[in-house]
Amino acid sequence: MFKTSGKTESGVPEWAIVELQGLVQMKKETPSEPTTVGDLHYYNRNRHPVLVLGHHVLNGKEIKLEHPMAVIEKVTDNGRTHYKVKAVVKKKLLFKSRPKPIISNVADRV
Amino acid sequence: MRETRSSDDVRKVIKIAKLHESELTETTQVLRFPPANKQNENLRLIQLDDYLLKEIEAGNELVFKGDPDENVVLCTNSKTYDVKEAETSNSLLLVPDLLFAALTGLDETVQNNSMEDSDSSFDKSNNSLNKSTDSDDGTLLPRKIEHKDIVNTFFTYYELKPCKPRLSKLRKLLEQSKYQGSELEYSVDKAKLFTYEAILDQVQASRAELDDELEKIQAIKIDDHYRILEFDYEFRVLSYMLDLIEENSWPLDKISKDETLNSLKELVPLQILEAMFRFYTVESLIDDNVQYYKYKEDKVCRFLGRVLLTSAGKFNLVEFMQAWKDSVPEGMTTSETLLSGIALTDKSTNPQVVWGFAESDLPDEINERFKLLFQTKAKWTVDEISPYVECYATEKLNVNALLTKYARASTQDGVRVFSAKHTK
Repeated sequence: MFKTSGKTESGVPEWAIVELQGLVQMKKETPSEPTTVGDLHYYNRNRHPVLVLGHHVLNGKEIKLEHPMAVIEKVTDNGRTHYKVKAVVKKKLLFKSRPKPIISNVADRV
Repeated sequence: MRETRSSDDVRKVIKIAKLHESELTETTQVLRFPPANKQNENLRLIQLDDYLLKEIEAGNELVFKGDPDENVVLCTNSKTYDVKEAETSNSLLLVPDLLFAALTGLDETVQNNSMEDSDSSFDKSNNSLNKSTDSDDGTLLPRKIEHKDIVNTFFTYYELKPCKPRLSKLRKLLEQSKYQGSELEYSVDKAKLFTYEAILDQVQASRAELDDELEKIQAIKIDDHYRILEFDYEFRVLSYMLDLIEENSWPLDKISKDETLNSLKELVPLQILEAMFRFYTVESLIDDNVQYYKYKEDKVCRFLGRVLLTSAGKFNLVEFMQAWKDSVPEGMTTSETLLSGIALTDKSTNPQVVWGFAESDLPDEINERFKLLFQTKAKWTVDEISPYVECYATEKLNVNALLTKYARASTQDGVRVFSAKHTK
């Protein structure tokens, strides 16, 4: 039998999902330092996000999730497993268009 | 690769990417994978409906329940959800505290235009990539840089679907310790007695659903443990109670609760008397400020019918109906329709027969149950079969839909009947 409970303090934080096609691969599997994935900007004009990821520019949009999600964390103490609600996710940034390659001579960070 | 990026680093990339800083809001968020030891592998995503979202935001408890051999369910205080893992081919990067556009210094005046069709606006922003690079750098203030860590990347999440509580386990738990009377309590295995919390722990149902079912199966709290009564014992107690009607010459709608409890408290524990009284009576009238009750006639008749049917084998229907009529308190009416769900009749034989056939004795698994039903009787009308299968019905799948799925419909003498889907 496993029974778990998720309890939240009032005022659950809202987190976000950044949804990308495919997989973001890192050069090092287990880095000891934080690894930059990309720079996220928003256009003034239409609020759309743009993500510069390595050699690619991804244009996306902000979408309200059809079904909100909860982020739950598995916590094991004294052999009992609990799930704690950490946050809810109501919106995501969806990057579903084909990434545009950056054509330039040099890129000093990739 | 540096841990933090400066305004200049970001500007350089904006330029290389041929974006135009003037078109962007003033904050750039640098997304990072934190070092491996800071990634949280214990996080899961679960999809919510509006009700669950409200429950979470109100800080109410959600409980996952399941033995290793059971599908996990999620229970709120009043509902049960089936939990299924779903996969996505996209990567879902989970980012705490990410700023959405509205919070990154967006000019209020342009927000009204933001509803334009997104695909065409993609094109516009793409066009801007091809414009000549105008000078964005130099005289501007440094960009606001915020570093945001991706706590984990997901390819799966859990979908929740409202489902019926899985209650068959409850009866199994309680059947191990049926109450047969105080004189036989010594023989009950104390390890098989369950408190409310222990039952709630083990049964895949919410509190409210469990409470309803405990009442429905007539579980009684006796000294902190929930018990169901042995059939013979229930008959004994009900008989004591019904005998008082004649003894006191009570009209059927003027049963005194106090009198009933007082007369029988020497014979039956009070907890059981009170529960039995609740199960079998409803309030009737108030006379001289005293609440009186009447017995639930159908329930009493059905129970006494079951008592007659307990011995195995078939009975002559006419004789049974007479014996049944004689067994109920005077003034109560038995009728064949009350046998639905507790007995079957066969009118093609001579004499016509009746035999006990209780829903609670059938297999839980739906295919096995249908198999047994059609073995017992080849053709059923909807009314006949309903009591035996309606426990599987849901809002979306009612009894008729169930029958369409698990049985074959045909017409016999103008009556719609159902038979086994695959006959030999």
